Formats: sequence, structure tokens, C-alpha cells
Amino acid sequence: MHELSIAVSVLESVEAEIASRSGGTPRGSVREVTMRIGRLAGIEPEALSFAWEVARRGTICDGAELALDLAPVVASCSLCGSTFPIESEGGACGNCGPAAFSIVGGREIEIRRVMWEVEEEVR
Amino acid sequence: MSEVRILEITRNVVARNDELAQTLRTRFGEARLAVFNLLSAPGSGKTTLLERTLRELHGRVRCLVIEGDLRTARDAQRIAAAGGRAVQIVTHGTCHLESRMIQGAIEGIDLRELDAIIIENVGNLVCPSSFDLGESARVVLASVTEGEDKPAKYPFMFEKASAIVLNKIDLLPHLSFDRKEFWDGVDCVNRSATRVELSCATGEGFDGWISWFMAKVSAARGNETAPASKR
Repeated sequence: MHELSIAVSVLESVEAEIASRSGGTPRGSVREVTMRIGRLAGIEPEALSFAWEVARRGTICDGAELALDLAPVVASCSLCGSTFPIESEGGACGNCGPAAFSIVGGREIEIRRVMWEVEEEVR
Repeated sequence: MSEVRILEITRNVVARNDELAQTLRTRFGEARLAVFNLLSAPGSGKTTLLERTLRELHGRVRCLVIEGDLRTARDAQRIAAAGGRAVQIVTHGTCHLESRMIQGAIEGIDLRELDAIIIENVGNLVCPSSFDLGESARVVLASVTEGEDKPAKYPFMFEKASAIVLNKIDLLPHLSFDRKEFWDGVDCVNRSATRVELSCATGEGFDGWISWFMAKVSAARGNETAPASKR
């Protein structure tokens, strides 16, 4: 349900990233942003895409696509340390069976890739 | 001529929240404050737990309650009626609290006049767990009417809790709630949290909650620096 605030944060981060690479003032335009979203991050992909379309207007990302790479929930067994996926019906270590685990993946809310179109002379 | 550049980066989108939360944690530590982030589904009894806690600690602990609510100031009114000092954050539909909201809520409040802050998060078992608020302890409240499968369904919420409180145990005779399954689910993700079973209605088990709470308050009073590790 907090997809709009996430979308706004992404826009701010991308703008800051572009600004730092174009001498302070963001230049050019962004064509695509790729994010990695964990399945435990509490983000509904469709809601985030919708929020993105609203929030990007008038920013450097106006018109930019948002590509979402969904990351599985991954747990680490507390007995042997091996990792295994957690599905909706649960999961267990392949070596030790049901045992305590800690969640090591699946909460990501990360920007991973930005496709930026810019005049050639900008360094 | 223009060119397309591909920027391969990794930027955590909630990093700014985490940074501000860390700043708040340092401030709270310097003021020797215990700060509790109280999380639960809607209807688990967060406000009732606070009302009873404030009554029990009246005159012993100077508490400020920060109330997160979607639409109304009703909970803050209940806290005030119980003799507590409350600040209301109406989130206007946002499903969780963020550290900048906490920063705004404590503006103008002299932290040295307090012993504890209790943040009542928005009732939701998903979103609030992603947002650090600078708390020294995270408390997850569940009630027996919600079913025993909550820890298995929402492991992320239970994983980082310092205390897990199971409420409404006075209703157990009327339900088929499986306590063992509930705590087994907790075992899978969190073996270090303090566990309390209680009823806010009858007061059964409430002593266990109060003694855990007071231990946290005492620990904060004794520490000059921020208890940053006690997340």
C-alpha cells in the first residue's frame, strides 16, 4: 500500500544519481528504470507500476518505463547454513528438514539499472 | 547527438528512512529514552494494551505515545483518557509510519522530560516491518482471535521483534486456537524475543509484559549512548 511513496523515493534517487553524473543539474532523460523487488517487501508490482506512471510526470523520468525484477524469498538454515526458497506454503532445508531459519532474501526494494539518454558531450 | 547510457547501480530505496532512523536512535539514546515500536494487525488490541500499560505505570514512567492512524484521532483520545500524553499522526491512507513522521511528531517535545516513547504503528502486518523508526525495541502483538498461522504467514513481521505478545488469552476456552502452532511458527524465525501471553481485558499475564517493559526502560536510563544494537 506504500507504493506511491516508494515510487517518489525512486524518482528522487534516480534524479540524484543522474545529477551527480551530469555536474549537479540533471540532464537528458531516463528511458527505463529497473528495480529488484523482493516478494516479502510488501510491494504490489501492479500498484507500483501505476504509482510510477503518476509520479514520473514532469520529472527526468517522464515517459520512462519501470521494469520490475521480482526476487524470491530465500532462507538460510540455522543448522547447516544452506539456503533454500520459501514458497507460499512454507519451505524447509533440503539437508535438515524443518528447522529454524533466517530470511536472507526477499525484502529487496532496490534500483538496479537506469537507462539514461544524454547529449554526448556530457561527462 | 545523444547516446544511451546504462547505469548499473544498487540503491536501496528505503535507505534514507534508515539513515534518519539511525539519527533518531542516537537522539533517543542521548536522552536515555526507551522507544518501543508496537506492531500488529488491526484489532489485536494495541490501544487497549497501551491504555492498561499507562494506567499501571502511572507515576512511575513518563511515557509519550505516538499514534499512527489512517483517518482519525480516536486512539489518541483513548490514550489521553487513560492519563497518557499522546501525539497523533494521521497518515491519510499511508499504511505505515516512517522515520520522518516520528521526527515531526517529537518536534518541540523535550525528550529529557520522558522515560519512554511508545509508537503505535498503523495496524498492518506487512508494510510497517520495512520501516525502521529509530526504536530500541520492536514489539509485535497478536491475538488468539486472529488464528495461529500469523507467524507462518507473516514471518518478516515477527523476525525482528524483541518481544512477542499474544493477547486475548481469556478467550481461549471459546476458540480452537493452537498455541503450540503459533509459537512453533515464531520459533522458525525468532528464538530470541521475549514471549508473553496475556489478556488486556482480565489482566492475566500482564505482569510479564510490565516487567519486560520496565527492564527496557531501566536499561535505557542506565545507558548514556544509543542502544543501537537492540533492534
